Amino acid sequence: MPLSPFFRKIFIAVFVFSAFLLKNFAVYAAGEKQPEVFDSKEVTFHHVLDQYEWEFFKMPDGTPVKILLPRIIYDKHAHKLVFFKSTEDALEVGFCEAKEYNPDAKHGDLLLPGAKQQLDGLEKELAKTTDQTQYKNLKSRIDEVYGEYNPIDFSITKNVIFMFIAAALILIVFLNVAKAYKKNKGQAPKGMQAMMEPVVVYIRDEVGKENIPNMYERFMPLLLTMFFFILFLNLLGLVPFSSNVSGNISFTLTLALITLFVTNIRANKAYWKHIFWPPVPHFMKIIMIPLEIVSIFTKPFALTIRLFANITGGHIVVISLLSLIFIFGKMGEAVTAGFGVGILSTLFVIAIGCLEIFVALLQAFVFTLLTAVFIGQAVAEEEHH
Amino acid sequence: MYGIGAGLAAGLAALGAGVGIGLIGGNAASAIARQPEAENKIRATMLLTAVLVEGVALFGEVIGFLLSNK
Repeated sequence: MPLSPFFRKIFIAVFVFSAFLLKNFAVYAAGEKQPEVFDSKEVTFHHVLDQYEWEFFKMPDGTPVKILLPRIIYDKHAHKLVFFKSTEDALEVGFCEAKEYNPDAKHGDLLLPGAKQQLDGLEKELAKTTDQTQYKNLKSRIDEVYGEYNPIDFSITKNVIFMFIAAALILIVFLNVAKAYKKNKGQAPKGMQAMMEPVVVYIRDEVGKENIPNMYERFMPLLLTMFFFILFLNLLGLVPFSSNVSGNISFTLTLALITLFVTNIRANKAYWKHIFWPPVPHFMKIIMIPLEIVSIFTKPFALTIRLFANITGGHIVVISLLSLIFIFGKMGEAVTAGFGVGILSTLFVIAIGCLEIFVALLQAFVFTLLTAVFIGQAVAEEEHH
Repeated sequence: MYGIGAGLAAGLAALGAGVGIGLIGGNAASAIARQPEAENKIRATMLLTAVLVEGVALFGEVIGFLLSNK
């Protein structure tokens, strides 16, 4: 880079500071149009959960600038997959919002056509009735109809878009690194190659070779992909206007299930023998066998919760600290208090943000390391005592 | 009632994490003091174990989160 090291440091500091300030605007834009009371809980949940549109910011007059994401829904009554360009298109055709009948549903969840008439009728009867048993019957009937009209949703939500973006970034980076290796045969690595090589070699040696000494080459693609996918998604989640993919429990559960399947499908006889007939005295077998069987499932569960809670918890802390600015500022009434708290809060958010970057790296590494440890335990050769 | 439960869950989980990671850090520091050449290995082990203990503490936090929504 042509800039001197001093200017480089200043540039990075200003960039980081402004990036965290920008998150302020993202938080403000996420709430509804100019609310009287700043609802920090709604803003927090809006940021941490998935959405069916990608909202960038709000124009000064309040209209949001956003990309509407397509919906792909499996209609079980018509037995086919229906595609819509946006949630609004689906609402025009006859789908209805699930949020009207189920307050726990996300904004944008849809019910199949035909649900609206039935559920409206049932709710009218529910309002009229005074009999306790009929109330209960109607409530259970509403739940039944709701369950029947609740479709399987394969929509491209904001999380899916960000997974595509992360995958595209990984492809771009690593295809370039591979090309550079072919071009610079025998020379010292430079540029992106030099940045990725120590990381990949570290995962191969300390995580792969050490935990799976006999057949680590077979599992290196899995471990490397897991590490870089989780790392890129964790870091993308810290950028303003992005989505919280690795803090989505379905995502972490899928990765943990991959670990579960790889471990148990590739396990050899020694592994199963250790679980079902461990080499311990008989009275301990009674305790150890159920414990080992349960631990087959608790290990991936712990992986799920660890990644999900770390990332989501970090995001919630950052958003809560930024919400303090708006709560103290009381939406324009006590501007001075908001301003003072704003400076303090932003400094605190920068500190927590640095911790977040560290946590992002560490959690990706720990997920990969534990996957390698479990695979190593499964394919380990029989020790000869 | 749910609020008290949520607060207790998250608070006790944080307490457990604090005690656990504090013990890990203290033992790591005394191990480095005994053998300064092994500092890198000890630091790597310390960070790894701290993350695992933190994972357990986050179970409690998730329960607190679920309860606070009720």
